[in-house]
Amino acid sequence: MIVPSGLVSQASEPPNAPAVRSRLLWAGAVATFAASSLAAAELHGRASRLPFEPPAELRERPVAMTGSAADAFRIWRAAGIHGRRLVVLTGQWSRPRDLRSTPPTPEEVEAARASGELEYVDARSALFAAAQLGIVRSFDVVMPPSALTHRLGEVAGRKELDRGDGSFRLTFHGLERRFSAPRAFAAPPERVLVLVEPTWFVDGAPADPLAWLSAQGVTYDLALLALEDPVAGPEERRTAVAYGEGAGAPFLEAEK
Amino acid sequence: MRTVAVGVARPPFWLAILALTGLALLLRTLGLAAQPLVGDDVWVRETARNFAAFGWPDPTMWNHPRLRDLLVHASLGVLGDGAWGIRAWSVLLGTLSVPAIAVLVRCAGGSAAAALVAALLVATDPLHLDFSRQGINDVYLAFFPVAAVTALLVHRERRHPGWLVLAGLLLGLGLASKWNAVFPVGVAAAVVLVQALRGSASRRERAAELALFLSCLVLLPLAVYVLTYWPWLGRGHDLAELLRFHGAMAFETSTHTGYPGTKQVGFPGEVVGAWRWFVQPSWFVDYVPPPRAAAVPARGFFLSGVANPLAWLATLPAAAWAAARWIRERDRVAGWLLLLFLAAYLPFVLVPRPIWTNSALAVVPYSSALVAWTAVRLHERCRHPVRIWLAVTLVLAAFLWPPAMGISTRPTDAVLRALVSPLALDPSAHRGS
Repeated sequence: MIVPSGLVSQASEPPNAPAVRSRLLWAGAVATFAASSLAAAELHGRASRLPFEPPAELRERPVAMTGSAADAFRIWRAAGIHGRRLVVLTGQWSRPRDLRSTPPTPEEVEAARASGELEYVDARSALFAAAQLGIVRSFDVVMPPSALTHRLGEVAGRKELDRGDGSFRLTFHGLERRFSAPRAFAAPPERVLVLVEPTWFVDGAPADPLAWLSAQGVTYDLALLALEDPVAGPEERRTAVAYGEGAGAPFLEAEK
Repeated sequence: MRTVAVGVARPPFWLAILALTGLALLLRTLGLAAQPLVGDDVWVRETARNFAAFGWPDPTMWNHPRLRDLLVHASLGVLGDGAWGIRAWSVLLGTLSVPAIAVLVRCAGGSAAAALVAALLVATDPLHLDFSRQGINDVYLAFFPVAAVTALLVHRERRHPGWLVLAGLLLGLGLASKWNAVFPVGVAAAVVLVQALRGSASRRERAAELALFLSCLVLLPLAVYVLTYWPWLGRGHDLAELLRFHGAMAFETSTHTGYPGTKQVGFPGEVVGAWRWFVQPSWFVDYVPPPRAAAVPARGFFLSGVANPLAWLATLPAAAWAAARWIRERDRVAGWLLLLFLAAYLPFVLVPRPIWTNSALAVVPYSSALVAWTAVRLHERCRHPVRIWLAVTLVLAAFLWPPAMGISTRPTDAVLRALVSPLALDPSAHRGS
């Protein structure tokens, strides 16, 4: 190693320098501590992924209908789910409402008070809220091709955008989010949560999303079929209800 | 080899260090509770809560390491969620950076006088003072790396592995404050390691020395750093995801142009190329508009940290003189202080994007050490000019303390406007901050 002259003396080992054995013992102790810390960190992270413990009626097939992403959020939270990957099948992607530019109306505040829920989580903000609270740690969003093209157009100028073939990654403050068309979907290598929104049910998307996910190799401990999303039309809602009923999925009441 | 007797300085030196530390503490705590919270204070508090509770590193500075969140969350619990709870760690570490730089100068072979002047410059610098009184963590970088380098220099002389362990712990805490802690510590470690290897008698000794350095200065800081992400890992993330998260952090940091709602690049004087820090006056002005807090006066609240120009503008001449001394006379003290200054400063200069001046706090201890050492050496040749320079520097610093504490007076505001810019105290210039 080149070190500028004048800084390093040419002196030999000082007489009080510790013995080789002592130095190795110190090095070993420190390395052991470091390795233990890293192992503990890895275990802590993996142990923080909490699965869905299904009630009796969902034990055979963990699929249920629910109102919207906001209700899904409440179900996940009430069930104690934490640290999970979420696969979202949808034709839209909402941004949380900016409460500075669009503050809650007095009616909304009153409704929140009446329900005892003072936080503001709606279908637009639910997935973001789930990420904030650590329920979800990353998103795999699958969109019909036209919706994906639209979404890509919305974020085209973002510096975090990382384009792929039929997919793109777009982190938000380090939060991992992968958006893809069905053909470019990559099944996560772990058990996931699934949320299907009504806007999924358009031309170009697999008509039986749960069967398609299974065919892709996705395993899940809870799949929720939302019957509403912020931009779904009547036809899409009807299709979602029909799909849920056809799948024999019970309606899961969101706990408020 | 020149031996520096670290622990046997005469008592008056340590008494003087104690007095300067007391002065630093006094300046950093005077009226602190009454100083209104600036935007960064509020965001620091919210981010500490979010990170501790949910591992969520927002609303501010998600791309920086997270030690601050853990510390501030702890102090919020002990001292409440007001000014002291938010700022206690900045006060503490800002104060400790004063004795730390003095000890570093001594350990590098500098005289007691140089060490004391360096400590005096750090203790009284208005920009350092300003950020020792805020929750934002830039002033942590004026302590952890300096203390780590000091531990390395002590290890160089005493060769007890405990000093390397201490250096590694401090490096880990520095890295967990901001990544640029690695530069001065890394350079110092490289030099100390080379010396240790050259002094080793056999290959076996060299291998043991190398193993000790690697474990203490690579593995240990890495472990400390990773452990500060414990709440984030509690979101279900594993180490591979932590690595990817750091890729995103590095990308954001390298392309950062301000967080939404903060001052943007081009804000006069504060977001500039780092090469300007020591060639023109540097400052950072926080502004709180009137409605945001009851303690805020009608015209708004200004917190104006102006780097002492008489100390800062002396840095590059001092560096040039130290370089000449190092090259011509192999002056080891000059070499050490110059090397540490360059290691801390050049990474900022080489970054193509503008940098907020609060980042300069990571360089201030080393620039102060260089200036102090140069002043003391020059004092041997011409006493009066150096004494006059030091006196005027302190008087100017005293004029700049009130604005750095958020206190507005006509004389100090006039100095501020003249020294910085007429815009400094103009609320319209701070829109979006």
